[in-house]
Amino acid sequence: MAVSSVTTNERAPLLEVRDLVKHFPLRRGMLANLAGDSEAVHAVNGVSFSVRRGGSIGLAGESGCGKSTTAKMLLRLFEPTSGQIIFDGQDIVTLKGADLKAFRRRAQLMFQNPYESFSPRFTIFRSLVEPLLIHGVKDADERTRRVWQALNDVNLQPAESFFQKFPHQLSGGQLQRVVLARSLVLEPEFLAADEPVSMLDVSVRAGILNTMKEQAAQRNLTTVYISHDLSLIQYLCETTAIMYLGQIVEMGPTAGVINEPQHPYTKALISTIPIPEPERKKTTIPIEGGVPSAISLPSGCTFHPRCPFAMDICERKVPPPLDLGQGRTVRCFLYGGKNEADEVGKNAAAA
Amino acid sequence: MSVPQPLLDVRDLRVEYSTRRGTMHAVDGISFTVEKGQHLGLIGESGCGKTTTGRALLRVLPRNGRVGGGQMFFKERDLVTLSEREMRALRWREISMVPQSSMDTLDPVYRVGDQLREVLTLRGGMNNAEARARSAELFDLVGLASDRLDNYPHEFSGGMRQRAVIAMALALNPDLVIADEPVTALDVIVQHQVLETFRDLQERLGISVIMITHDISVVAETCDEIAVMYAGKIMERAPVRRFFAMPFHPYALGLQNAFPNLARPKETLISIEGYPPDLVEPPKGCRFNTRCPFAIERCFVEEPPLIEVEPGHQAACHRWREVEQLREQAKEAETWQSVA
Repeated sequence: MAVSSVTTNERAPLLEVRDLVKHFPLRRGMLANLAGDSEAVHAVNGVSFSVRRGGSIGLAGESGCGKSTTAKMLLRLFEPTSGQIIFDGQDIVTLKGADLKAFRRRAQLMFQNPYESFSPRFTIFRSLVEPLLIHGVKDADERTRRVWQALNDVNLQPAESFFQKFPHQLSGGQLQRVVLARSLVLEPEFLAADEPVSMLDVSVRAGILNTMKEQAAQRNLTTVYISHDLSLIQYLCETTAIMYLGQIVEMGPTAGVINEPQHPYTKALISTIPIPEPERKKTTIPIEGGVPSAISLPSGCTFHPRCPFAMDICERKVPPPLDLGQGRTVRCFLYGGKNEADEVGKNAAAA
Repeated sequence: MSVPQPLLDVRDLRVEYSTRRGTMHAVDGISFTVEKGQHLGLIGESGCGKTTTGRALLRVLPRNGRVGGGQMFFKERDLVTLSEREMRALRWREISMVPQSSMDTLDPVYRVGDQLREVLTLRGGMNNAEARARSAELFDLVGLASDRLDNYPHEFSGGMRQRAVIAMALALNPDLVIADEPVTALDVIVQHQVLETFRDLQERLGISVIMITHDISVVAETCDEIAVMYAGKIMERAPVRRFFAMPFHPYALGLQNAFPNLARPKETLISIEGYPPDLVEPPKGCRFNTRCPFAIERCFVEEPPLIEVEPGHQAACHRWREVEQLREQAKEAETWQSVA
């Protein structure tokens, strides 16, 4: 294969997310609403990243950090409160009708729980052919061929033997492969997977991850993986973004982020992950308390109430993303950015 | 000379469930011991019988389940033959349990402190003032502020609720706590805090723990001994350090290679193809034979006994003498694909 055929166009990001925000307004009484008291869950608060065509990024963080909400916005399953999602040069936030449908063919979601992802009354064939019918693949032979191919590609072989099976006749691992096949059957360019193996036993997880990796490489798929499990992201993704309270606090090439974390939160997170080596001496970074409520976010850096290195400024100002070189960014005043924060503050005040 | 007896000595335990398709042998003749102060990790995939084992020890099996044989000596009394009244006296006081998804087991309409007090007064015979003092002590022990006793469960985070349930399990100073997936639903930072709590209990109170989990890294970080279950049998039993350094059973070799290790990323993770056998009609020979890349004819005919492969380390595999060679082969993904 000719490597030199990579054009500049293929290096351009397929997906670029700019300052994405999602607030879920809390339903309160009419009077509170009239009084202008509009509280909201600040699920995602200004997330920006980009993924090259064929690239992969992992969004990691604890429950409630906004990683799943971000993924859902990327597929237009949630409407962003503000921000842009540029997919292949087009802002998908404003898409409607036929354009939106065309986008949905190109971008697919792989669901978390295989046991709840299928109609128990549909055969596997019926579940897989549905997206093809919806997206107007008119030729029946062509549809059968594509269903067969998708099943075969995810190593459910011989593929035709699965056509007439019902979900309850398959094991969890096989079913999760069908979930993957269904998300591939439309031959998308972009795939988001939210905790793709968390429901499966460890003994079968690896097989699914390997198939996902293979298929992504073969199809030059652009992928976003959402997981609380950094070892999974380490295995699958070239870029890792660590999220905390709706913001990316640190991002960069996976090996760098995991082996040499910079942000105090990333450090703490990584130091608490159990390692299957009883002999290993570990130093954990203690952090206090739990994740604060996303309804009233802490001022300044949202991590400051739990941060062992918090300074005065952390309470007052939001740290801007700082470029550390080698593709790495971190939002933390320990690495500078105090002047920029002033600038950002001024601009915000001016606006 | 009298040999000190282990705190718990389970011998050839069998637990069955009646199902529409016939009798399911969920736990099929397992033996293990737990010494005082020891933490035993009981691991395996879903359906291997680890939760059933925990519930059998407290005799709180679902209605269609029963102990079908064997003995469970706890402080030299056989739990299998105790009357229900004797069992009731022993639950909470001597053996307690942190059940699966226990953060959802607190009653949402009662204050957490009241639920703790119930255990202390009804089971422990304390008066309200004593119970209050003891509750504060227990909260302190598991790292919760005692002013949170007046909170309702919804005012707690998942990790705090989990710790409250652990406090409840410790309320009456039991000798043994059975913890079933105590950290599975928790985020890593909270998981770490809860595991620290367990380690602390061992150091400070000398409590024995049976930690039931699917996660070998949790066992690596908190337990002294490990027992690997598969399809109702114990396949390997060893001190934790030996198990990670020198696993013997092919299933254990597979598990170790399937498990991601953040500190030592692997080029390829290995999966153990296939799935566990049907326990209504278990296969002849070794239970793992359908997924084992090293199975030979003998493995389909004769069940391998759990035998000592080095001092204090047991495995149930006919080919254990060849383990060094198998260990090397088990690192290759192709080895495992040959079974599928």
